[in-house]
Amino acid sequence: MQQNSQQQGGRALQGKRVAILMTDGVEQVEYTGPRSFLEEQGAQVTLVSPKQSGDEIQGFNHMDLGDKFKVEMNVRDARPADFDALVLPGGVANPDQLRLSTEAITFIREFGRENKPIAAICHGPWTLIDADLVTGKRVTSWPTLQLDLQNAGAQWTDEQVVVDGKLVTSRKPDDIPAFNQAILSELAH
Amino acid sequence: MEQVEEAGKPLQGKRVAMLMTDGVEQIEYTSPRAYLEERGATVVLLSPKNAGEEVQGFNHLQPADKFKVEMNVRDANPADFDGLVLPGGVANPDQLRLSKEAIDFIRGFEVEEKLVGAICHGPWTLIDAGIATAKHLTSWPSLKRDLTNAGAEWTDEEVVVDARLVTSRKPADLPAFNDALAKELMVAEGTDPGPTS
Repeated sequence: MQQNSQQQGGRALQGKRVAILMTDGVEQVEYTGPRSFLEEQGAQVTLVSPKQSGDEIQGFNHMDLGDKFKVEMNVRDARPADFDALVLPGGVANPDQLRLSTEAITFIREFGRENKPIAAICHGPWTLIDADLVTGKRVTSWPTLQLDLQNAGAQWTDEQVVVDGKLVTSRKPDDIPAFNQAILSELAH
Repeated sequence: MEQVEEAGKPLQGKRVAMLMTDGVEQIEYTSPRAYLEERGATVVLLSPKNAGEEVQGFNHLQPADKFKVEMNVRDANPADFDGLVLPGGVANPDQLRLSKEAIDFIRGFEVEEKLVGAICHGPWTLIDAGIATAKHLTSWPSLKRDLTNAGAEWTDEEVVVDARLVTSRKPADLPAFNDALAKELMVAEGTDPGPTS
């Protein structure tokens, strides 16, 4: 798979469409890191949110305010059928708000139903509980969510990236290189 | 409520710990503190941070005031307090969950059957402390699933009191939350809440 992507000059994901679902409070490097990596590989990435298209999302660098990012599609207008994969960045306030959006949780659940890759990092895996996608799955996350994921039926391990079926999870910004490579492997299949 | 006002300082001699760290929703700290202090209680700001260090408060997603830590939680003993209050602000309990000292401290109040009050995202750490199981409680609605999965019975009410556990959902519930905290603290002493006390 890695050989393939190199042979294709880093355009292994040409024609692939990836949704990144997030809202205010996102840990911004967990958005910008995967987005630039996937775009370099040729994928088309869309920022999807419960906010309106054109509204801005407030990014954070840990506890400090970071940059703002323009929403490209309201999640209620987004169809999982139009995407090949879903990425869920962290930043604790971000999934905390997504959990209260029925449209966001339904969107995530649909990717699971269609057996499409879902990649979640840091606090991103929190919404997988609401989408009923973690039961019986091996996952990792920011360690604060360990107990909640276990109580939801997941098998939680402390690794930089865990792949179980089409579910890719990582713990923190330091894991982004491994996280990106795992998404690439899932999408390039 | 009327008795509280008539008595003036009904919480005189009561010691209440407030446990929190960076990211606290600051009104959920300042409001219960002011309410309890007005009624005579002594309130101590505890944190996994060191005494003298500052905790960064937030108004929702906006960084707001800073509050000086009065005691590191590792130096605090539940036996020295009559109650514990856990404010919210999602980033605050998220960090407390990784502090073994903080979680052990919270658990100590359950063990000693003392008041534990938690509002908004504050109840999140009750899962780690093993307090949520089989309890009737409320919280910010984003935690409903996690609290339910941990064995709690979650309901959408401004304040829920189950045994010595007092929980509320959000800043708008603070008046009801504060009132319930004061009532529980008076019960703790065996004080009859009636006018003869």
